[in-house]
Amino acid sequence: MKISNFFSPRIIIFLAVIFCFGTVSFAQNAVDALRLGESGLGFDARALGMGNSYIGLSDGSGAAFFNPAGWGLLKSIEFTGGLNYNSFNNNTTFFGNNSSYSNSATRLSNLSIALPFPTVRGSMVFAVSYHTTKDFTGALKFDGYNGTNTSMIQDLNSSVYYDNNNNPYNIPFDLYLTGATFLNLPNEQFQTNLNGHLNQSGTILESGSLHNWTFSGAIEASKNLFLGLNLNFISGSYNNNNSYYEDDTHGIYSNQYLGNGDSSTYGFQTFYLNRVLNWDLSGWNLKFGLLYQIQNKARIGFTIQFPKTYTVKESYTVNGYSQFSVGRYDLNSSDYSDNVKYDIVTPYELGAGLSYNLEGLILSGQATLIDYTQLKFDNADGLGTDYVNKQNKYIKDYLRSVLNFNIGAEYTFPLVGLRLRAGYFVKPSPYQGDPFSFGKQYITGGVGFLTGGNAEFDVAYAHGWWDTYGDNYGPYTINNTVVAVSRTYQTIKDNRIILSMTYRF
Amino acid sequence: MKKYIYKILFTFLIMFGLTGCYTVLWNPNGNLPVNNTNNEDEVFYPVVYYGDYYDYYNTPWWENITPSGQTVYKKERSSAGTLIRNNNGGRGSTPRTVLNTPPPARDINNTNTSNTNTNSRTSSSNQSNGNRVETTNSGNNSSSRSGNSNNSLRNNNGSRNTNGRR
Repeated sequence: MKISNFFSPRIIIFLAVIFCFGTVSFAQNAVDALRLGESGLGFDARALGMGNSYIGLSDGSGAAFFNPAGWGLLKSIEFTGGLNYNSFNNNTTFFGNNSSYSNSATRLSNLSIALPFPTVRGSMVFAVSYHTTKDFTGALKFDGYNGTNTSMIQDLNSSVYYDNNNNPYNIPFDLYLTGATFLNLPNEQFQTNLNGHLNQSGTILESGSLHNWTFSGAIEASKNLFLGLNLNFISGSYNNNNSYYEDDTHGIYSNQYLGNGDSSTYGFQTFYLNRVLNWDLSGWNLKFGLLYQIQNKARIGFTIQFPKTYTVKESYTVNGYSQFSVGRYDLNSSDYSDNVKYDIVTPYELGAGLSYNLEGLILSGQATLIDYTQLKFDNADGLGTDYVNKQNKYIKDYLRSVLNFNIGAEYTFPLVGLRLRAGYFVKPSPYQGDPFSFGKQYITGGVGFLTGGNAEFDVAYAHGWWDTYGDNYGPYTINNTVVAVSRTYQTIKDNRIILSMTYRF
Repeated sequence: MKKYIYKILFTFLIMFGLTGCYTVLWNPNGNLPVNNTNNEDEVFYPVVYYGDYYDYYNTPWWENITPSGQTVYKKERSSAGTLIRNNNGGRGSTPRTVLNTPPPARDINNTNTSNTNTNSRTSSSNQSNGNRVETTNSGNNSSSRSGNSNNSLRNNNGSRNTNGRR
């Protein structure tokens, strides 16, 4: 099947704009759900240094993120504070051209206080923590000549809206990228002579983070068996700024009318579209943990993270213009911008971890089961029920359950109070059919130093890498075959540094 | 929403209902409790492998305070734990002896000749101490200091004695 047949009358189909990094879709999709559904790297420097393999250890402020039962091991009043630095680099290949783009952020990673109650026997600890659980920092840049007969303009022309007088309109029509003739068959769209062969370029910058106010309690329910609970109140924000260009770099349309007989559409040069997505996030959830210490040798932990319910207040702003040899046309932003509200409910997460103490060397491992098909949109205000149901079906059809693995080690030099750490973890891609290289892999290291017997300073570094791809529009399904028409192939490097100080007395 | 509230309530009920199973909170009308979990067989961070991290993880904060009128009792270390630390820590394999001696006081009658002049000058002002008979000889001055429990916690080089651990 040739791509040149895409827009012939015999052609079928469109869309399935699901697997996009910065999709052109004007509404929500599985990418949005996954953005909140995938857990972040947490905030604890000691844990990150050990590859976040901490469910079976958790004897510090990291319990607020990994295993609340770990609070029960605390015997001192503890204050913790920390800072997080994140650097994100994306190397993109787009129609044979390579581009690199970076973004970074520095923010407070956590503040917490824990108070163990004096006990005659056993343990009871309460704690309050404010921490950053996820960083949305991201970047993408692409620039390449798309020699197919597709374009974003043509894709947008397939979405038609109607005003109060039942007159059809869409972005290409408003920017004189089409004629005024409306075609009803085979799909509703305006007539245009545009037929791809444009240079496509753009950038996407992502920022924002999720924060938790966590209230924790833990007790020793029987000898060496600890139970704990984290009650999380979540807040956060997310911003996605997507700038996209299509340019007639080959001069194909310099002497043409895009709309038959419409002089305003003569000499097309550039199409620009800017979409800004802003989320104001709030939510809550519970995490239950169990931890059992096997004499002085090992600890085993289990966690159940109940579904997180995020309420998303979304602001979506669209701007754009078209440049012709005869002039420039700007988009009326209010016609395509909107505000909606909906919930995203994440799946249960079941975790199990083990740590073993080998004469000063702690070895730790854990696994976490997450069934991403249980992600869902809910309680939509401003979105149609059919649309929400359709997106939830996409999630069921295209996502999968995964098992995250973490391993880590820590060695303590007792005479100098120094600790060295190393770790590795992998979070497989939640998309069905993705290869292992699409999973997020991290190698980590860290150092801890105890001074004065009360204050510990920790620093952790994590380097992550994975592959992914995104579609500016499409892909299209033709005769049951999915064809990518404007796809960016991305190799991502993510670097994190967490500094923290813990004071116990 | 309701079902989540029920989950929260249920979980908290389970958690704190279980406190009666094992955990016993301190009664503020009584003495502060002793550390009941620093048995070597239960400590995840033993001193021999973790040094100062032992206290960092294992010493309850209430053992560092002593409200007036209260006495904090320390749990004795097990002999097995002592041997483990000695064998690996290079601090000697024999248990140290703590001498229970009276507080040191100068005996003006038993000073050596080199100190005669000094003692004679101070004797008049120390008449009230003349009845406190010193029973140790001058060679045991250092061991008499070991009667002070605070000083027995650390050796001169800062490392811990076997009997001094809290």
